[in-house]
Amino acid sequence: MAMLRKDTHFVIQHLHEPRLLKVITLDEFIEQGLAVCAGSADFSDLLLWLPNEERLRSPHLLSLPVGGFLTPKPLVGDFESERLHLHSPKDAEVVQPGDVIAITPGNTMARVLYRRGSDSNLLFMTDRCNSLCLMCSQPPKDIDDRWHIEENLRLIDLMDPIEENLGISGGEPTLYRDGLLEILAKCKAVLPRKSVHVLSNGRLFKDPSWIEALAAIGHPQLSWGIPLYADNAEDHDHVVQAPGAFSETLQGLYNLARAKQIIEIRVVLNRLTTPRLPELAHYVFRNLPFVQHVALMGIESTGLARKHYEALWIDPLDYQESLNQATFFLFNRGVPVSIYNLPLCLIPAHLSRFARQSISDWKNLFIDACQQCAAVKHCSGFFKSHTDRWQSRGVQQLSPEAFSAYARSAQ
Amino acid sequence: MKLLDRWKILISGFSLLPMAGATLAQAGHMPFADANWKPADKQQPPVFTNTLNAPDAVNIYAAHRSHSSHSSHSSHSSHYSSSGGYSSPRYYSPPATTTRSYTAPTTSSSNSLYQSSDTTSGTSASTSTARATNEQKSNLVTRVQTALMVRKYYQGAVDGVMGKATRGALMAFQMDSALTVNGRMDTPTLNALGIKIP
Repeated sequence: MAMLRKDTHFVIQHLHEPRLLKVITLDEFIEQGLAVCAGSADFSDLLLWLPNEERLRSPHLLSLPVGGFLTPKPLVGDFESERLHLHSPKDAEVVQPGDVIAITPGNTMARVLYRRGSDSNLLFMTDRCNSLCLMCSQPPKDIDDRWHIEENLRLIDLMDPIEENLGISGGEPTLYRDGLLEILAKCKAVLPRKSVHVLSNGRLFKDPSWIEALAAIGHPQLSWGIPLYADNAEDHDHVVQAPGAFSETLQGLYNLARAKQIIEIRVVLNRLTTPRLPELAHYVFRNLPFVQHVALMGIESTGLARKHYEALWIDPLDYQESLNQATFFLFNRGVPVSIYNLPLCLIPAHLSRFARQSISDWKNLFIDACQQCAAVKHCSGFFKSHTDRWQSRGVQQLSPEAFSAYARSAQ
Repeated sequence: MKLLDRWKILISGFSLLPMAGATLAQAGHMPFADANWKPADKQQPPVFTNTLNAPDAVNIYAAHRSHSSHSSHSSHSSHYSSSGGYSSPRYYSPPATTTRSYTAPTTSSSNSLYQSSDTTSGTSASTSTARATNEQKSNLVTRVQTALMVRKYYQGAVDGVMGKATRGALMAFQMDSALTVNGRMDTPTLNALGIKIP
């Protein structure tokens, strides 16, 4: 389970405009044709995966009316065509058949926007945000980037129709309200087998007109991950650096509930949020009983989090007790609860049943200390941004005996 | 506290012990909260009925794997272009420039959002059935030509046109495969070529 990045360089020839392309093998092309794409597409949207051998065996394949060709290795022999051609990838693992890639003239980078079979695919909505969370892993930019909407609508068409999880994130996706609603409606129509999880701070949902809009879409597998960082306005507003945010998010949560949406509360664990974690759990249980999942999440040490290291860093060993209390408070009351992003060695054995392998595959890695660990196949591991400064003193390899205690407790 | 008065949170008869026992019994699974609360009125705060531990509650994080019932909707996907209101842009607007191809709607009807002039291909909503059929047939011929080419029966251009060379190659393939030699893309021939028709 190695981290697989989402972009790599190719030699790109005869590219005249920015393109989104669906990579497809010859066998798939023959067997399924355009049915490999969930939505509307034509042959020019396809990038034929054509290994050197196949091309040299049947040179006439270059007359195929597809959008272009991808040689997944360094080019062997002649490629006699003026058609779009990608070859000699820097990392040959990154782009695979089924993926959707974006390429732009004058740039050798191919970005994987959809990876077949991954549950970490993301419709990225915007870099804009109306909050400025101290630990934001992706600091917002004040730009007009509505082109993401168009790109995502196109991307949906080119995805596999298969059952997968799909994320929608930003920035704050609700800032482009109509675009987001359009995308959700299209997900329901074109990708009915994919569950969709949207990350939003929920503040704009305080506008009750969302209730009808979301209810009208009626996506059966749509859920919302909404962060709540404290049981009181002062602490929450400080973490998200936005006065009034706590109140807006709570109003938003109730409106989401009125629209019968599936809601997850997300709490990033840090020096500011962990002291009152049991109180926050209590607050969620008492005031947000419609919440269907609470995720208690280890911090990602990137973006603004690095800038606010002093304010945010706390060794997970030092919040084990409040994590323990909050988790069991919710669990004992029937609220589904998970612990994300914390390696098993930093969680007491009796909490390991709540730990999930939550880090997206493209930014998930294991460090040297993990190499001999018995739990590595069951562990969340680390973010690729992990550094020594953010490493707990408790990181250690678990012996098979130690891990069996975790496994027993997970029964 | 008028707000609170209107709330009817029916968490009554709550007792910790039996519930803890019940949830622990579900080895490895998360206990489920309930999605069944009913809002009394859209503008009112919600009324919660039996929010916790309902036996019929659904785990959103595990349940999607078993929601194969949605596959009955999958027929939507292949016909999306003809039924949807989207303009299915042929050109993907560039991220490098700040071309604002998305224009905010001025009315509340959102169906025509993306039908800006430069992205409308004209093939979606307005396409007649006959033209769609022709396009589908041409696509099928293209796949047949490709399959025949890979099998060394066909050396011509892959153009989606069922011409003499393609028909000849198809008949040669049918002959070699002990199929009815009719030069047509019938189901046994497509099956033998490994071509699925939706």
